[in-house]
Amino acid sequence: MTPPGRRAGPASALDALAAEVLRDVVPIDRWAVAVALETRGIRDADAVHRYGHRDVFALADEIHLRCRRLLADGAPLAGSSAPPATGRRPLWRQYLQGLLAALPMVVPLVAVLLGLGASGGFTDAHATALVLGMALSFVVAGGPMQAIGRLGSYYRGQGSDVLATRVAGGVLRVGLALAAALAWYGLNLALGLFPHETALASSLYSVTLAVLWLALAILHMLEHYGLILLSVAAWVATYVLLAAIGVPIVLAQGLGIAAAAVLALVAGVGRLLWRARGLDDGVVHARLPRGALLVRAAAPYLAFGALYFGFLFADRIVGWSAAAPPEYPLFFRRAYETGLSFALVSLVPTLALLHVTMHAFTARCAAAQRRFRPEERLAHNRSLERFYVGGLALVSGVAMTSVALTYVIARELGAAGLFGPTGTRAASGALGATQVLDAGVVAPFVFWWSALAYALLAWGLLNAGILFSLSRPAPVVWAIAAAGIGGSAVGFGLSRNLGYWYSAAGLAAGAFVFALASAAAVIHVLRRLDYHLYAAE
Amino acid sequence: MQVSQRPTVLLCTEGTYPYAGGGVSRWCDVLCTELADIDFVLYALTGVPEASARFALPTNVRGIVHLPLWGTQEPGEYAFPGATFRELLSRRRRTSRLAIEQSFLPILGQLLAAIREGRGDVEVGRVLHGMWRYFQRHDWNRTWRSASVWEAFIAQASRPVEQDPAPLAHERPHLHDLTAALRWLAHFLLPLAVPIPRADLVHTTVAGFAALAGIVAKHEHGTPFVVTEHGVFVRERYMSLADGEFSPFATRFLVDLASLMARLSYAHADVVAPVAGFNRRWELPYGADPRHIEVIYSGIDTTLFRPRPKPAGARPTVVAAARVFPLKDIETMIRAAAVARAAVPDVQFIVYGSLEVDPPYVERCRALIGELGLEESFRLAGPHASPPDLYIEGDISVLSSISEGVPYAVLESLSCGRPVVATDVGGVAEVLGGLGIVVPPRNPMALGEAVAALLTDGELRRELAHRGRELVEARFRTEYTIAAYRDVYCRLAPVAAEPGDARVAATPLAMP
Repeated sequence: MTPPGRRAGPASALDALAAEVLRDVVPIDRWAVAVALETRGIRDADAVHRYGHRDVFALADEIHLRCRRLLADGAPLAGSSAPPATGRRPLWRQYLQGLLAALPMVVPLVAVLLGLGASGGFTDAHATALVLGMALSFVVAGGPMQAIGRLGSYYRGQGSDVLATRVAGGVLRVGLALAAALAWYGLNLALGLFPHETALASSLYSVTLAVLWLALAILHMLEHYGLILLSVAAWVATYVLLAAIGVPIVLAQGLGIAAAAVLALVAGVGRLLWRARGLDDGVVHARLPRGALLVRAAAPYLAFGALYFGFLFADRIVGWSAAAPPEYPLFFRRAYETGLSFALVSLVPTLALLHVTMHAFTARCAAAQRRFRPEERLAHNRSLERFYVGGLALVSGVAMTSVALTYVIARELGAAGLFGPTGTRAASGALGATQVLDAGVVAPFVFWWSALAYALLAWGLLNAGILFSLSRPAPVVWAIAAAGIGGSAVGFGLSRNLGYWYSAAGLAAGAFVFALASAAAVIHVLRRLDYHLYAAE
Repeated sequence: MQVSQRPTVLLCTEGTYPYAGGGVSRWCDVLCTELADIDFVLYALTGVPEASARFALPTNVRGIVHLPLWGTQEPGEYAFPGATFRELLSRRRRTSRLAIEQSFLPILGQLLAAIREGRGDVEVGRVLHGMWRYFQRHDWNRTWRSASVWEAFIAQASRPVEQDPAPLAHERPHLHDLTAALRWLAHFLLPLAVPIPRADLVHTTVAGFAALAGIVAKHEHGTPFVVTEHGVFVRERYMSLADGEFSPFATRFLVDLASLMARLSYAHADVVAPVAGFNRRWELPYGADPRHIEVIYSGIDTTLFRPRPKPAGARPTVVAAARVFPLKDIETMIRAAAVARAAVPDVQFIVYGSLEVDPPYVERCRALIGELGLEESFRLAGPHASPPDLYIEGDISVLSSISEGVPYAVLESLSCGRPVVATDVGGVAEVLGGLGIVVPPRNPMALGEAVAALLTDGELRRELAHRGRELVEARFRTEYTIAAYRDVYCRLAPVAAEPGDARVAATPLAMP
């Protein structure tokens, strides 16, 4: 490289230069070193006079070799190719965010329980209206909620806030249109099946709740957890305040939901518009794919949202229609709802944990990818399979603990009379079932079976989270569809033969199908995780 | 043979015109505006879809193909909204595993081999052309995200490299590196996903990924191809990647990709037109044919940038037109200001240029200003509303870059009759030709002393101002640049020529 006779360059000066270069840059090859030398201000003239080389490139060859020697001797590399600080939130904050995300789902059910315990003229017909309205709202809003989360996060992750905002706004509009359609058709349908007051209440509940879910999905996508908490607080506060001044419970409930929905919608849409205005300034060329392609991309998530909530409420429909009073096609079952609601409450800590587990899984994947060589792919995949099994064990443990604790607490609260004195309330209730978990047949039965179902559901949701994060939604959709159909069939058969409350066992059967089918898909994916991590969007 | 008498030039940009400011964009703007009798179609690569036009496009710009490399779910559809939904669906259907393995993997294998071996000749161009043809009928995402492609890539990357000297442990890839590398490949090659607009000539402003349009057009239609280089693409890639942000393997992959694009650009170009002779030293080793290199300097609008007196009463002032980011080495300028202040106590430095490019760097600069107690003497003033007035505010201007092509800042300053102290990088010394003071880069002492010397020697300043203006008028007027490109266009795309002109056909590709 160096012309003979020009080896005059003092070795120590060259070594010093190599060490300097090594501090600044990663000496990939001679060109990288040549650039480093040029940006140090070394010109051809300097290469000749100070280092005794023909030009900068010849000097770079020499320095490159010296750099490699230094590296081979253990010199450190410039910069850090270590994983970038991901700004991970502490675990307790992740857990809190998970709780906040799960909270809105539980509030209306708890409200039903409390409403039944209060003395505000809240009848089982009202409860029927509220729960049916809730089921409808979830089925209608579930798909758009998933789509907002999915598409919005995709574009945010790609650094396109404008497109994230636009896609979320678009899905929100579609969802609101669906809610409006629900208001009209739902009301007409319900008027044919239920007494007028129930039908009207149910329809209004479903629409306001659907709006609330959509608005909360926007806040969730924008990670405004504080605003989620605020709107839940507005809900509870409105309800408590109105109930205290003697407003009928059913109206207080509805106005509470409406207050939360308005607050969340104004906050969510306001944030969207604000971002869009701030970002849209002069942006002319950001464009989403055409609608057909967007729908195609979002289709699995839309389907999952609707199917998932359909599955969650199917057991009530099946059970309550098995033993309804003649004037109703289906009717609220106090004992059944009690068991189910406490089981759902027991699910909340587990759902919050899933939030943490998913973060941990993503972080673990990133770390493993930086630790394993391509030829160690199998070990890489196995290490994450082990992590999955560990996560599963943790989720199961938390689920079981949570169920046990919920049972004990509910029993104590029941004994303390929170849900009203057992005897009189039971007498005024439609079919006289008890409301506490340790008395009667139905409530404990439903509690234990649905607690099992929800624990299995948590497993399934863990699987769904992993598969979604790897852009493999299809198996999840099939699994939840199979769960809905299978669970309802089992529940239908049992409830018609053994007692209406056996539809809770159907719920458990469906959850079992969901968990198992999605777990099979997860195992399949984890076996080739190296590929799936590459192929994920 | 050609229908239109107005020739169409496909002008390819990467992160510049019309979506960003800066020298290259302004150069494109002048080119399109001044060559009003030529139609342009812009082929603009950007990082993400969120781009806003920074220029009012002249009417002879007939269209824009905007291709964001990141942030689109359906990349092909984004740049080519003309395809029907049915066509997009049938592309997906055609992209079966069999189609990928039979039609795509062989092409990918040849491309990866070329990258590894550092080849980028016409033969490799043909491989990329084959890939482009494949993607005119097949789905982009489905192909790249298939398991077959991943397996093929892993197999290729795990093969031991016959490298001399043998790779060190830290150069061997982890899974993360391969994941990132293959994703990068699928993003940077995105121009291969879209149809190339028909044009009489393809002109790229960078020997980078935007040049793919020209390479494909050359193979598909024999369209002549011109490469203009401001900074040398591959050199700038080395510079931006060398700081160790990525692992050694990933860095190597990225510079190998950049080298591939540079080699391919030069190999397919009928004319390589660097903005300074300096660029040759990098273009030649990367395979540019010396017979195809024609230096075309970037011109200045000398009626806009004209000498006017400095506003009365101002302190001795040094201005700089530079966006604040590491390549401009503003930190050295700040330290130099401290040196200059020792000799000229009431001196002030004003830097005009965007502070948005690298906010952490701006913070570092601000901290340094505070540390050296220069709050009264050094100002980061943000962009200037009227560039021609910017230089007038100073007695002299300064440039502290560690890398440049030919900086407009130097020529504009001379054109305004303001002498320049500049670092000896790129084409600076070449264009200054002794009519300014050049100092080594990254040397605050030299820079500061030169500034002080020029500020205190009024006679030298006037002399340099006068001769600098003469130099610009004689060699660096916009008119000369425009005439040179009109000449290149006419030579290569004969339709652009006036009737009766001697027509020279574009160099046909050697097809062995």
